[in-house]
This record gives sequence, C-alpha cells and structure tokens, in this order.
Amino acid sequence: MFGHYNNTFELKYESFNISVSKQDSIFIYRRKTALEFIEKAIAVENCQILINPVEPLNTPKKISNHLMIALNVPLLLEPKTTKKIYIKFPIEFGVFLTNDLKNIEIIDIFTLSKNKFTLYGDLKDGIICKYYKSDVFLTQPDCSPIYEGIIELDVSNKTAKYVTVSMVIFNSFGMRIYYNNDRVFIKASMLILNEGAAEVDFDNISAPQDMIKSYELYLLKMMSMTKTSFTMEWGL
Amino acid sequence: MILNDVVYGSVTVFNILSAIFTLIVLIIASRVLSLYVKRNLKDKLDKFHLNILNKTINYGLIFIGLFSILSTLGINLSGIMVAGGVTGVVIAFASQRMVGNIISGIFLILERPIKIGEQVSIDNVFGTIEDITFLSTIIITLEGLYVRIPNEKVFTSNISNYNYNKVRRFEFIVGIKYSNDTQKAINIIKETIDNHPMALVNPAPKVNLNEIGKDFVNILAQVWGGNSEWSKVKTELIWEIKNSLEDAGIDLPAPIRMS
Repeated sequence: MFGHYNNTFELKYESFNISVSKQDSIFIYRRKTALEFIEKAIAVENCQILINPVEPLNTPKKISNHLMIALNVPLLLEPKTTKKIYIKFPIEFGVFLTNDLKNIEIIDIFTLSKNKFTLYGDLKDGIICKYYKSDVFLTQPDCSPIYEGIIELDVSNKTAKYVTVSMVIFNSFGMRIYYNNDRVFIKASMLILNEGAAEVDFDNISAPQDMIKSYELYLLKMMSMTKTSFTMEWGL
Repeated sequence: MILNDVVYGSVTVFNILSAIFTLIVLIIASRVLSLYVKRNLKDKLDKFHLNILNKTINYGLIFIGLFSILSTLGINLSGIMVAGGVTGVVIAFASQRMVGNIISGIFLILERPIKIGEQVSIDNVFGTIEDITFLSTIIITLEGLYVRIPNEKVFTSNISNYNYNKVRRFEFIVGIKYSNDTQKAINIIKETIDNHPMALVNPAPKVNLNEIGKDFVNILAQVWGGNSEWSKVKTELIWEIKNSLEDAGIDLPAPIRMS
C-alpha cells in the first residue's frame, strides 16, 4: 500500500481505490473513498508516485498546525517519574509525484479516519487543533495502518506533585513519521512543567528496523522555522 | 549664470531647483523604502503592522523633507513656529473634524479593536476591513461595496468584530411536531453535529429543548466553529440536520431559524 509506484497501477481496498492509468500521452490519477472521488490529469513522461503517511492535519481542510490527542482515560502520573505509553493517531495519506526529486509535488491527501477539530485554550488566544481520541496503551497496540498510527510517548513528570494528563498536543512541524506496510510510527516525548503545562516534542531518532521515514509535508516548508515543540499552557 | 540669479530674498534658482530635486528624491526614496519594507517584512509582520510601519516611513520622510526644503527656500522656521501658533489656532478651529479623525485614527491603531482583514460591523456597515488610514477606515462590504468611514465615527460607534476571537458560536431553532419523539430528534441533531468535522468538540455544542410552543416543540442547537469556517459550517449543518431529521421520519413543519 505505502511505497513507490511507476506509471500505471491500481490499488483496491475495501475503503478506498487508487489508480493511475494512461490515456494518450496523459496520466490520469483517480482516488475514491466513501465520501470523495478525485480525478487529476498529470502531464509527465513517466509518472512516478509515492504514497506515504503525512502529518494528519490536512483534511478536510488545513486550518490548524496542531494535533490534539485526547486520552479516553486520563493518566495520573506520580512525582519524579517517566512513563512510556502508546497512543494512536489518525493516518492521512500523502500522494506525491516524485519525477523530480528536487521538486516533489503533492497531488492528493486523504484520510479514512474521522476528522474533527477543537479549541485548546481560551476564546481569544487559544488555538484550533485537529482532534483525535485514543486509548492509552502500555505496549504497542495493534492497529490498521490505513486508519491509525502509533505514537510512542515518554511522559516525564519532573515535578514533586501528582499530575493528570488528559490530552497531548503536537506541533505539525518536525513530525517524523516512520512506516512499513504493517504500522506507522512516531516517537515523541512530553515533559510536564507543572500541573497545567507541558512541553511536547518529537524525538529525532533514526528509522526503526524495517521502517522507512515518510516524506513529510511540513519539513518541506519549514524554511527558517526551527521550533518543533509545543508548549501546552492551558491545561493537561 | 542663471543658477545664481536671485528669485526672491536670498533664494536663487539653484535653491529652488535643489528643493524640487530633494522633493523628487524623497518621494522616490519613500516609494523604494516602502516596497523594500513590504517585500522583506511581509512574512514577519502581519498586514496591520506592516501598514502602520509603511505609513510612518512615508509620512516621516515627507515631514523631514518639507522642513529641509523650507530652510533651502529661505523660509524662517522659527518664524513659522510663531506664526504657526496663531495660524494653528485658526486651522485647528477650521479643521476640528479632521484633527478629530486623525486623533481617533491614532487611538484606533493603538487600541486595535479592529485590524486589516477582519470581518466587522461598524455603524451598521458589515464587511472586511481593507485599510485603516489616519483619517478614515475603509470597509469592503459583502456586496463588494467600498465604504469609507471617518475614524471619528468609527471610534464613537459600536464595533462588532467577528474575528476578534478564534472561534464563534451560532445557533438555530428547529421546530418539530408534538407527535414526534423530541429526545430522538435531539439525539439526531447531536449526532449530525458530531459528524461534522468543523463543528468544534470544545467549546462543546449544546442541543436542548428550548420552548414548548403553541404549535411546535422548539429545539435549540448551539454550535461553535472556527472563524474561517463558521459560515460554511452553519450552512452545511442546517442542511444536514434537515435531511437527517426527515430521513428519520421527523417532520419539520416550521422553518429552521438561525441566529
């Protein structure tokens, strides 16, 4: 499912179809899900396509740079501890045209997961986040990579108090996504600063065994932006 | 030589030409500087602050230029100051409204109840702020009309800024028949709101029985959406709720009312 495809191909799944066919000298890209049908004409000599998971912040419309994972069951963390947990995040498929490696072009983004948004913080200064609910797991859970990926999150409570975590918010910039055909994986950490604030960032790790690093969207556009962490200051 | 010919007092042709030259250079410099600032700071400053910076540069250069030209033309600045005291009072009386507009403009820029690009309603004019100058505020209405409102009026009017907060609430009333199951209708409306991606999870939407009227049972739904999506969410939800209720066999004898 994820990976490189050359010229014409067809992927048929229960929940979506993707195909590239050739008509005369034009390639036709088609993608169909339950809610949407997309068709695009691609005028290239050879059509080289890459399909991989991208930052889940683009569908149905890019209105936020932040992803909130709300925990179905809040996590109570004792003082001065670090706990490794696993949570799930929604998958968005990025379909890239990779003919020119210096100028990779995104041609389609879609998801099979439920899209929802929420406000984090107050009405005036808060931020709108993409919203997803997840259980908390202590070992890597099973999940279908066409719907969900796994975030391995090290939660550190360096404070001297018990802290309850009910949500985690990630910045879209610097999200490093690794994948194979069985799972999609992100490694991140959350440093609790006090009972109502924490800093969340992605860990810069090398690709886990048998996994490939995704071609992300926002690394391409980062330019001078260097801050990849997000400080949650309106509660955990 | 003609350049040394005296035109009046001790001012020569050369003085007049150099004053004109200074003026042209200043105008060109202010345009170039303005373009440079726009080009280099457009990613770092928002439109509102960029606009203020540009105006300050333009007016500042013109102010400095005028003073240098006046002294080149042999006009005594201290004399102007004294005369300015008298004429200033006269001009101030004659241009009270203009001064009021300028002062209001400065306060609008400092207080920032509105910014360029925001959707507002000022003195019953609804539209998007196109520009805030020292004298007036320009609004482009939804119909595409250009409306110029003097800053004094903007400052003393009630201003509704629809983009001040990140999110905005809308509500609508759905009237159903007495014979329909009200709880079922409420559940369907809640589910439809939940299924809409842009209807925010937090602040949470509310759906409640609002009124038991003479002919209908009225259900009030209150939903929050992001500023940029608010209008679209409202339109889509009304349509989806109507279809969902009708699909479930719930009649809508009264039109859905929005606010």
